[in-house]
Amino acid sequence: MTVPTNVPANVPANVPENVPENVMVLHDLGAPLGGAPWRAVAPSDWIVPDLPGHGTSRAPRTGHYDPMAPVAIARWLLPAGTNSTLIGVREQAHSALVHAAGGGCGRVVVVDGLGGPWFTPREQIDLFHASLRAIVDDRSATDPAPSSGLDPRARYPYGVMTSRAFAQRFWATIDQPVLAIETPASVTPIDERAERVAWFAGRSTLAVLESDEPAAIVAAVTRWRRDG
Amino acid sequence: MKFRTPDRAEMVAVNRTNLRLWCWGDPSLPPVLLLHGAYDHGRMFDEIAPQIAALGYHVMALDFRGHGDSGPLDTGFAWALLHLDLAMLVRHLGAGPVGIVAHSFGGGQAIGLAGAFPELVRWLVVIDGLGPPPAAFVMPHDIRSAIQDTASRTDRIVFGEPREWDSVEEMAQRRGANNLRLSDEWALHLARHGARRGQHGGWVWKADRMFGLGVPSEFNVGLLAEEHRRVQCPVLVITGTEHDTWRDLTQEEETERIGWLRARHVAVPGTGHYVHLEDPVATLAAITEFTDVFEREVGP
Repeated sequence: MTVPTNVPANVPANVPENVPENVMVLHDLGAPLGGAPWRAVAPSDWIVPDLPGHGTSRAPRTGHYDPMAPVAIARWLLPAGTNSTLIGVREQAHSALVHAAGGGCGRVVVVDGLGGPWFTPREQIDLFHASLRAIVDDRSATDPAPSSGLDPRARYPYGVMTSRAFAQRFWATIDQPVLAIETPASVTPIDERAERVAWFAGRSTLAVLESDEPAAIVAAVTRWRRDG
Repeated sequence: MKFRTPDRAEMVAVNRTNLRLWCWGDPSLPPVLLLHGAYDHGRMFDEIAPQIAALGYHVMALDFRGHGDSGPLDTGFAWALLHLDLAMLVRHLGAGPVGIVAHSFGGGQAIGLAGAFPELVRWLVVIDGLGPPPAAFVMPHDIRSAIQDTASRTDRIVFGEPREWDSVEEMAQRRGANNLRLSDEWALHLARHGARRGQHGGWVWKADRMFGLGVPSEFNVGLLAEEHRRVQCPVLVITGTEHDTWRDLTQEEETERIGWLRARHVAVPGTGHYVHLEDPVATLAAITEFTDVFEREVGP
């Protein structure tokens, strides 16, 4: 595929040409090496960009990270269609699900993306305020972003608030096949995994892996796609 | 109407962007920050700002990021980002905690700042800015269409060019049609300072078109209440009394939210959403009474 020539300057680097398989990985926000660990083990025709502020892709011009950008990048780089699969890793899981809910891909994979424990409004605002204060106190996160490598600002989560009711309603709008991969790094309560996976409207599969290494995840996705 | 051009215009580099400040009064006096609403800009305070400065304050009206002369946005998912801008701006100013007069969306931002950074805010005046009605928090029935609409709007913004208007007067007419209670003079003033030259010789709005876009995420009345309850400083809420665009809380909802803030409340008769533009005399009187009490009881 060809990246449009007039895309903004912060569109990711490391996008392969000619992509018949139509699989794309949105690596985790703040991943120290960007998409490189995934490119090292994924089939060569998978699309694994360095997202803005990671690896060889420049930081967003606003210097801030938000879940809209990965949705747009997936729309621009992953050909839409029933054969396309979008993988959202941890903080990018919500963006992958938004793309899927909009009908942008035929299948969606979330890695450690079923959400953590549900918080009360008081706890959510506590977390929100703590995150704001941490960024303001972190000079490296507010000074100009580096021209390459990991932008320290990307170590902070998007701050997408969610609740059980919201997740249940939103995921019920996703009718494509969903693979939920849970690794030892997941923050989802183990006894809630199966219940949450069942909230998706379409066929959903839960895969529990013993490793959070990209190679194990790529293998699980490959098996799932092959087995239909 | 007596607009007074700001005494100074400053551009402040914080949080990886540039923020425009329009300033009135003596910089050595206690600082007051004026915050505009969505799609507006700091010049909306050209009438009341010099009068607040005359109360003994250094008054600075901000252009939020994505508005006026300040830096751009890449997203409408900017609630937290603008909180950060405000916190870093107040710290950058180095004049200690600020008083804030904030309208509409700016009121929500000010409430968020005061809750998350209580050490940065002395007092707060919120002009019809208590948040959207409960219906605004409900997820769209057709989520797929809503996401697709956001996607197509995003692509039009990123890959297309903004609409160019033939004249500022034409833009003022549009503004007046959206906000029926605005006088022609105010609509023209807001359009004049809210527009810049386009690439093809016409005029385009300065407000970033990405501002209104976002992704589905949770926000509800419970979270709103929790944010409001975190505010510790004295708060004055000023509202209008008339039905108006963007003035859509019921009386009960308004009363409940004022209670969350433990705020004083002044309703200015005969005004709608733009209380400070429609009746600057009554608005200033309410602010004066509030700040007089604060300065007398709390002091510098």
